Amino acid sequence: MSDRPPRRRRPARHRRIALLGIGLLAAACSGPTGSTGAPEPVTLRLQVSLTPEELATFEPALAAVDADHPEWIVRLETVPQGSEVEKVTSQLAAGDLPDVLRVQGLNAQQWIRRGAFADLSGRSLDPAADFYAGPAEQFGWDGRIWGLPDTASPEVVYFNKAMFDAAGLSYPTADWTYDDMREAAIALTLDGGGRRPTDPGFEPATIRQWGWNGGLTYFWQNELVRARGGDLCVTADCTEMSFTDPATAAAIEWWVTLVRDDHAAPYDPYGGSQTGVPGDPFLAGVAAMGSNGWFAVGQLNAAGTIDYDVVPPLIGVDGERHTSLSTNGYVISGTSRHPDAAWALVQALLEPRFLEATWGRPGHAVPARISAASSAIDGSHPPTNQDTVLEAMAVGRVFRPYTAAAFAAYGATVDLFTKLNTGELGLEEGLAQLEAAANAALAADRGQ
Amino acid sequence: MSVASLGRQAATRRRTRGLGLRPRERWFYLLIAPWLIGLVVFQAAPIAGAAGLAFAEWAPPLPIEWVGTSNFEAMVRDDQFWQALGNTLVYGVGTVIPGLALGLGLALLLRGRRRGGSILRGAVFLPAVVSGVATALVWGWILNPRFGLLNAALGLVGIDGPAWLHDPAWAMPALIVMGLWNVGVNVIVYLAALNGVPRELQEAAALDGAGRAARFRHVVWPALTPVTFYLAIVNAIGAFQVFTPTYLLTSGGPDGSTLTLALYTYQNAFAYGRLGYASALAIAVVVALAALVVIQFRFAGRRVVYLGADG
Amino acid sequence: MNEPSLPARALPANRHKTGGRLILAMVAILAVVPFAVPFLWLVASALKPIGQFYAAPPTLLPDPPSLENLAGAVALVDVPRLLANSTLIAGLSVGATVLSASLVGFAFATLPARGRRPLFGILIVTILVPPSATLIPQFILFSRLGWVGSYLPLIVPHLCGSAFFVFLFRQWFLNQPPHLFETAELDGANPLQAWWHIALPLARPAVAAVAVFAFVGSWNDFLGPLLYLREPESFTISLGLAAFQGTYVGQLHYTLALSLVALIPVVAVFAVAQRWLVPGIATGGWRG
Repeated sequence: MSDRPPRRRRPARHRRIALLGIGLLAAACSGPTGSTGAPEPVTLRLQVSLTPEELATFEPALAAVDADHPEWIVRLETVPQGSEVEKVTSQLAAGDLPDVLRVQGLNAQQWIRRGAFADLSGRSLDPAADFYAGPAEQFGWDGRIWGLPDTASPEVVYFNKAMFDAAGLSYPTADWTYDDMREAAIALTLDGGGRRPTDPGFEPATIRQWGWNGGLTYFWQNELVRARGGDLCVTADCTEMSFTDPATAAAIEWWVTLVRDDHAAPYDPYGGSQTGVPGDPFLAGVAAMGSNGWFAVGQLNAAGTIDYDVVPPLIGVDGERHTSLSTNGYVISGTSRHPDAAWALVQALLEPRFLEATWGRPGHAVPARISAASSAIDGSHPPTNQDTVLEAMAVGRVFRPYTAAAFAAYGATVDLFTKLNTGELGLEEGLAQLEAAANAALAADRGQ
Repeated sequence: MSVASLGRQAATRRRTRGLGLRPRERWFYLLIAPWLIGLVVFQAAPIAGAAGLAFAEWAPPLPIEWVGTSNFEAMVRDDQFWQALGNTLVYGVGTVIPGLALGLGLALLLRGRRRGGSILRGAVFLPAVVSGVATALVWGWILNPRFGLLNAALGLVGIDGPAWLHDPAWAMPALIVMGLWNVGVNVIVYLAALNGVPRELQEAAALDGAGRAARFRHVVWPALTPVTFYLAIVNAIGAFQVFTPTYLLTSGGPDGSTLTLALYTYQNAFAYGRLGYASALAIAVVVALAALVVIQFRFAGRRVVYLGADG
Repeated sequence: MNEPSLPARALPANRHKTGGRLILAMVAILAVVPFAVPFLWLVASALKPIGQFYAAPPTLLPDPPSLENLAGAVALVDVPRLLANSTLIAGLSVGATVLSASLVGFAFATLPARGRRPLFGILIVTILVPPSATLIPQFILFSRLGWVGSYLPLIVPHLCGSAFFVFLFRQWFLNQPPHLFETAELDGANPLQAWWHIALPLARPAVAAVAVFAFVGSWNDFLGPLLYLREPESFTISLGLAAFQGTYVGQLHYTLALSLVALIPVVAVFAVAQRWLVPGIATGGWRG
């Protein structure tokens, strides 16, 4: 038995492995070199979070814009729409934010308030002139402008024609109030045996058709409360909320009784425990009416199973229309090395013609510029009353609150709404708990 | 004669060279070099960073604020933390031990050589690799209180099924069932381990007249203890990281009954913008898991039998 | 395959054997049903026309089954490219993982050294750290290295022995009869040669298991590609699946259809790995 290792083989093998390892590490560590920042053209990183359909129209349009501007090279980076927060948070932590981002409205404010984006107030594009006030508000703070909206999707009222016909009711009109809606909703709610809530023997547990798609089920529905004469927001940016103020409490009660006592709307509209499928009840074909964003048009037309039309947001107790809208817009990174070129790119992406061709006419969303908004109307497909979307854009407001702690407050209150709607929690007690929970969560953002 | 004792004998005959390391030791360090390099380059700084963040508050791109132990103090006072910890432990207990038993049982049942065996094994393994979204969607439908498959089946035998994911008392049990649907991972490991039980030992036992059950108790099971130990630890770690079903289906509800530590950590990091607190929660997870692992190591003690060199 | 002859009294009578086999088969099928049913529901739903997909109350079977969800998904997203990218990353990761993890695990199992115990303890501790805790710090690290926007962060760490699999290989090798490695040493082989020529071939079932897990882990990895990949041409299939989960409108019918396509390579890998996982003619394992 030899007690010496076979000298000849080991060192050579050793060396080979070591060299390979060093080589790999060296190759790995050299990595891709960043932009060398050659004098011309400037490389701009543009990050968007779009659905595949939106990307299909956006990418070629962006390429055309890029071709028109030889002074830039635009590198498009995409993020799955539901993962924007994770991506941007990580990029902010590492200082790796792209030059221009298209962000979702509800996410924007938390980053704006932490100074992530460049101040656009001094730039020459005047938002007040051509942008709808609702979407523009999403990107303003502290009296300054931190971004500009390109599109929005307001909520309008949808109704199912077949269900109205079956009940012998006339369709909603642009003059309808919430009381009109309530009356119709009760008449359109049917249980398993075809009985209405007002009929004897009505069994709520077997409801197979609701009149309205859902009541007050989460705290971002302030517009529904305002329509009935209340207001959940005490301060302008809603970092302090009130549920117990008499007018607000009365407004909330109106909605709660619609669900709890009249059974005309489900208490779990999106979870699917009552309807059987997750998602909006109107889209599932089990609600006769409902308030939904404009993007529901695309989904309804794709499914093609529901004969529907729309009317403008219903008239509230103050004679005005109230509705919410979601928006998206462009921001420039606060750490961008080419802020002027980035601004030029943003301007190009906000041109009315670009918005019309890339967003409005394909039917993805409504341009947030007044001059381009009507491109969203396309008479070649349902619904018929598409002008309602322009009325909704004019009155729509973004969801409040939209500060960083809003998501925490949402999580803290969502169960309480359900209990109010099922009756598990009494109204007075429920409202007090809601107010306490919401304000506790929002305390972090107060005074910001 | 174990490898270790042989090594010691051989080593004493060789001169120790450089670094005071005997040749076998030098080979050890050479062979684990890839892992050591990875540890230093890719893991040391991030882990230290994560640990450090637990003593800070950070909402990028604002600067990091050092806050000492206030995150931990807040954690102790935080009802949601304790609820999440409790939920995670319940989930762990509900999935780890049944998961091991189920995994072993299925592996024993399904290791036949016939072609049908392949399909059955595939059927058990596939659920573990289906994407999280699809899984959540499918189970959401199956568990639907009114129209779902499960309550329909229960209805056939006259049971009025609960609201499952919408009932605070039944949401966690439903989640545990969903977790057990992924037991195919354990099955794979057990299949490999069963295939590795040394042939000569089983043959010897058979020749001695041991029947199937006796062979299992005295030869097969002891040979499986090392991977059982591995799976117990790995599954426990996995249980503490359960995230996708809670994120997609319940958002921690109803009433926080499915709020797991992983979900709560994620919410704090990305939804609430509290990266420091999220790191503190992660440290809490590490401490809890370390305690569990130490307990498992102690419990393993003599019960885990290694057929080879002394562990 | 050599089956030794057993003493007569240990052999059951023939008809008991067939009856026992039948019962066992039925039990096996019954045990698999709870796993198969949800999966079949998944397949059925993916084949539903979009109108039926979202309609309430939900139907069991598509009527008629339609490939329109799949066709739609494929038209909107470059599926072949996504699959190719994922295959490249997963393939490299599997190779790197199997080689490095088996090497390190072998060392931990068979080479005594001072510091082996504490190092193994450190290994266990790294497993305990939740990936979510190190997600952002690691992103910062790779950002400083300039690796963001490439596949490097997704592959190179696997060259360094993933702790989970090192642990598995260590358990495996500890369980092998020691005389195999001792013989190698007596023949003058160094541990590296023992690993390559003896340990690895011996560990085929473990290699198969690790290969499957490493492949699935890389294939389904979402957060890694999300954070480290920028341009859509480089995306993986896991990102493609997420593409249809919009914030405002979710097109889950596309997601489901695509998830079935994403399963096919995994099934293929699993089918190949089965040869080494279960006893067969190739490995000569003991069936009883």
